[in-house]
Amino acid sequence: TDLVQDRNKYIKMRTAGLYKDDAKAKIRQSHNNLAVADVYKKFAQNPLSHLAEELFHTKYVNRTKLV
Amino acid sequence: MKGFQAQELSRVIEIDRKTCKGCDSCKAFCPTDAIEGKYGATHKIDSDKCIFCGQCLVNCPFGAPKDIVDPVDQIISKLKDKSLTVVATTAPAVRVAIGEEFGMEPGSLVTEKLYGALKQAGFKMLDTNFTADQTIMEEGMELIAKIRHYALGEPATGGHLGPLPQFTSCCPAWIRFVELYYPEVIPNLSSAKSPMMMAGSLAKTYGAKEIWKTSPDKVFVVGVMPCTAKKFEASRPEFHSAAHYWKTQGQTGEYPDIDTVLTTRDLARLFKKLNIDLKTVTEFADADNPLAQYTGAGTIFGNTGGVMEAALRTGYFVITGQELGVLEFKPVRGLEGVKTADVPLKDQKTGKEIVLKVAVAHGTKDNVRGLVEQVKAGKSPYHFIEIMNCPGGCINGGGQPINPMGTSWLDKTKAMLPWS
Repeated sequence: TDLVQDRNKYIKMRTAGLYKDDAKAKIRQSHNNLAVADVYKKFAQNPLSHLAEELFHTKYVNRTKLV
Repeated sequence: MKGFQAQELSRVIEIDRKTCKGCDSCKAFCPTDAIEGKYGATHKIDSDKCIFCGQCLVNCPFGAPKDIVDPVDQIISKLKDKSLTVVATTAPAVRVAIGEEFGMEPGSLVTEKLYGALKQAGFKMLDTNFTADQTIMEEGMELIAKIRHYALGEPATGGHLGPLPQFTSCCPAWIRFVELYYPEVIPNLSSAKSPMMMAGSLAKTYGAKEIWKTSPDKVFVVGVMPCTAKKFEASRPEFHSAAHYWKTQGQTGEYPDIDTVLTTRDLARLFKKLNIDLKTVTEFADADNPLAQYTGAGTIFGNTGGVMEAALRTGYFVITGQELGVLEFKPVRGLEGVKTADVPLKDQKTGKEIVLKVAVAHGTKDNVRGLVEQVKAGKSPYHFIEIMNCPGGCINGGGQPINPMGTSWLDKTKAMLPWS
């Protein structure tokens, strides 16, 4: 129905906005982000390192057991 | 109240009894049937079932569901405290929607206006797009370690390897959904934090030490998100990683990684309270701030299929040694409920050929349970699955401006309902 079409119109426009931001970016792959590489060089050594596990990884909770 | 850890927010959205018409629109969008109330009677949200996604809020024709967590005034007072470094970490989807709160078209890309307005308000920037790139590094390497073990038969080095398929973990509503309804697939969730939570722990360690050169407990981090569930995520008690890190360095102090979260709507209200007009504010590129440097892969996280596309661009390079030729990975783009793709890869180390099987689903209401049941039954053919709760992805999150299309949705629905 056109009701749904209308609703998706702004979703498609916002989606297009982010793809435009990607298309015009000088660097388009995460492994080529030099500033991210700096974080590892100066601080966290490498992805999945001990420090990276501590600061950038987490665990989850079985909420069916939380009463 | 069951299903909550200590200190977690147990309520983010409440339906205003005076405004609710009982029209059931919210029930049509709620992914977990968390809304009670008969047709025509006032509706109520059951917090034990609710995953805080806000799809009721952005789809109610009458604006009855309200986000009751309002940190705007608290943040304005923090911005006045000159001893603090107040950091805004803004999500990809905010930069293509906040313009709507100032009369601009949906999808208007306003990054430099947003940075200018944030700077004028007194914020420093750690763009969540930056930590989205970092999430690709952490989550991508986790996936590749599993693929090298399960698909290429190499011994599992390093920490404990979870099973395949690996689900993405950046959507906090999806995470709560798994924890409440499908705990059996918890081991399949990537252990990588979401980009917002990485931004919090990064800001209060590397950011404090290397960039702003201040003590970590003087850094106040504000998530700026298209999402209401991020307010719940920030309150999870385990997200005190920076404080724990500093304890190992001999510094005491207890504080969360993300202090508070503004939705896109909240940030617009904050700007208006400080009479900052996004349309006329002086633009700011923040070009020499390393924590505002992001790639095209980071920024598309806000679209359904965006995390997958970003991961494929890096995964392809790490496994094959070459950059992916065509970066626009079309099969995972678009509003199709479940999107799948086979990605042939030649491992540069062993020369072996493997086919990476990936899937992308958005909209927990209609499109996610099938994939999860498949994984639970051990019959999933996929290696990597991206899940976003909201239809379209974060650009249509529960914290985004409400129906900017000139109320076409509102008017049509109101016209249909007998009592409006």
